[in-house]
Amino acid sequence: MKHNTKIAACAMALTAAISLPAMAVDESNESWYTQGEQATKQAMKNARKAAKISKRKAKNIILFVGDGMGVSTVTAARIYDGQLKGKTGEENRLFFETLPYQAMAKTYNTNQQTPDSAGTMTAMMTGMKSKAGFISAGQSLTRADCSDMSGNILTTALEHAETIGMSTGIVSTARLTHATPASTYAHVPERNFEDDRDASKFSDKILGCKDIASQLIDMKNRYGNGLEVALGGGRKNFIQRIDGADPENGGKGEREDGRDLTAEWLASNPNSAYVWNQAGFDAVNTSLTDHLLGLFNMSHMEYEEDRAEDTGGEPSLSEMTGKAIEVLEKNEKGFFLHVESGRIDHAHHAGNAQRALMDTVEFANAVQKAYEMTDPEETLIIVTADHSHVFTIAGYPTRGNPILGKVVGNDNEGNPNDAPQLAKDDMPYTTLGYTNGLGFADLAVGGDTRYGEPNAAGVRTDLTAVDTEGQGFHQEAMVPLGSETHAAEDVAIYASGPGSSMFQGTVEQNVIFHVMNKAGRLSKRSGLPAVK
Amino acid sequence: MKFITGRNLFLVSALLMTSIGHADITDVSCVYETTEQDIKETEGHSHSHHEKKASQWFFWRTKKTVEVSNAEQSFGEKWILSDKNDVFYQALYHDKKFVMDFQPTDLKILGKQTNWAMRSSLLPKSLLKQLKQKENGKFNQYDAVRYQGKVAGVEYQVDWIPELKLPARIKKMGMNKTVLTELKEIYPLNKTPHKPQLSEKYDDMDYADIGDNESHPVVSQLQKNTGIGYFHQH
Repeated sequence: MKHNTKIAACAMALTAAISLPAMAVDESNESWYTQGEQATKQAMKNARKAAKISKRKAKNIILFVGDGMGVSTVTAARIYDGQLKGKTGEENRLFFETLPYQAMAKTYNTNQQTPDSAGTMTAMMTGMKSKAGFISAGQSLTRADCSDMSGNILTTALEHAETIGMSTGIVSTARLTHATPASTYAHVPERNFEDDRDASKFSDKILGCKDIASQLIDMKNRYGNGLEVALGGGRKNFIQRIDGADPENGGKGEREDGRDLTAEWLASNPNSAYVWNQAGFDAVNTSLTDHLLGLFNMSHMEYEEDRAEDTGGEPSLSEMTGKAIEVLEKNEKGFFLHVESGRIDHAHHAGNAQRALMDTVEFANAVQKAYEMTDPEETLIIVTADHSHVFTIAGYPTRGNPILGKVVGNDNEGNPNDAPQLAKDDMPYTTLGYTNGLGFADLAVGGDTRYGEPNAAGVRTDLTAVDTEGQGFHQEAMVPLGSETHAAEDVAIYASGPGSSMFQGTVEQNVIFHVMNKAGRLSKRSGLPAVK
Repeated sequence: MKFITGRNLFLVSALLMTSIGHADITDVSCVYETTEQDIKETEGHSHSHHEKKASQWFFWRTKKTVEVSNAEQSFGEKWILSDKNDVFYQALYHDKKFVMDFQPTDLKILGKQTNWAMRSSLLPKSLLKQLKQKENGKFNQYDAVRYQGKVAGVEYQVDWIPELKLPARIKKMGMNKTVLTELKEIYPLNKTPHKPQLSEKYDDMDYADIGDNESHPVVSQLQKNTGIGYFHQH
């Protein structure tokens, strides 16, 4: 693509970040003044540029969603990323924080103050808020009841794009049938109806809908020629429940309807490919491939922390993003791509901040990859979260204190102490923590392992001899719950490209669809109704 | 379980309901009983034994599956061997008609990667190699071999049936506890009166999805009462 333009634009967007002092020791009164002045000049340039390009059509639209990536997660990940690079961290910026336009989104579902991923992604993809657990289905329905869907099938941005001949793709580290990616292509008031076998969990009323995996494969029967790219986890939902169905380990899938959806993808799409491991992924020739399906794990893909250990080998989120764009950008009519970092949310649920932050850093890498591969003059990039988590950054740690560490404060003169701050119970405490969940654990491997251990929330642990910066550390929590929960505060929206200047102030989350719709002239060109 | 020993011969009597054919000795159904007894060391190093806790449990084995269940068949566990020798694990909450699925990757992060040989024969191969072979005997019509010795501070006595690749008896003494596991009944799988509960139609969930399902009625109940995880202790 237009590389020189891109590099120039990228450099402009990064000006403020690059001008910031790398280390606290390089900072001076003057440098803070200059940095602030430069950021203001940049904002003025952005405002002028916004007026110029606001009427331009977005050829390509990329919607990045960090699942559960609330503002506190962005802040902590920014510091973590900076500290991984040997800096103090606070002054760092994740790539998407350098995008020129920003707003805040109100995330509530129509029936829940604190939302879930299904209802929030429905809002972003259809322009209409709905209930928790609903996948692009209208709020007047009852959960798991598909007996009459009429008037409640909410058209998604991806479906508009597919209808007008754009290429479309989804990328996720979660199962492709999980709530967030599912809301781009499926319609069902029950997020857990991921494959046909799941129907037995619900009443027969669910049978008025198709399972989510089959809706992905059958999309070409409804909109355009179907998805061009689908890369992520959830292989089990696409293959049969017979021995040997899984190419990686010979195990069984979930489908009992006799359908092997991976075979159907290959049979029904010209120039198609199906891959399930790193080797197959690396071997894909994108110039010869028009429809790419990659299912790299039976369930969710690995956390970025654990990815190198995966048996079959998994690509990173940024690798998948790059490959997806290579396939999609061949279409002169442009493309719509959704990229989700699905496991930030899971690591938080397990109370393991390190994995949440590591996945957020990789998410930022994926955004940068997309930005660098596309022309910012013609590509609308939106980066946001579906909801937040009860994840806090607390205490008064000194500048540059390890974000995963115990709070080491400053003395009366404002200089760092040489030992952790003690709480009123005479025990040290960490900067990062959770309001609820399972609480402290220090395990050989962190993450989902936490669910097999007793709940330790609501009590304090003496962390004096504990390495809180290790990957197996799980932060303390206050209210004991079976898992840490989502939070209701607003999430940030970062954007660049045509239409991005429409993000202003605090908006309802469904506004995200309308910005994409306006910038891409999607519904205007597709002629599809908003609701069917 | 009663022992008759003498002249390098021991005989284990058990309630053997149906003769196991020699054609396929992999597919078996067994009833085991495990008895735990705490030993308290008193002054003068004499030992006093405390109340025994005995429980029976079922064991079903095919070439590609091993399943166990408590006597009430309210909770069970299943290991499934794939064509490529990966092991999947399921925690079976029969009383709640609910299955928790563990992928090989989950087992890896949990540090619970399963040695299939150990799971299907109830003992790690390495254990018998560390014990001394003592005497040969019989368990019903099967030849059996007694192994004995101390490993990591625990005294073992194992009566092993090579043909079935199963123990007739395991006695572990150590850590102030004696644990005795005895084979009580054995049948060909297709003739067993003890059928495993069918779990195919149960509600199921991936272990990695617990975080998203805090309000799931079964998950929240399990987390409050028994916990969720990889349980196997035998």
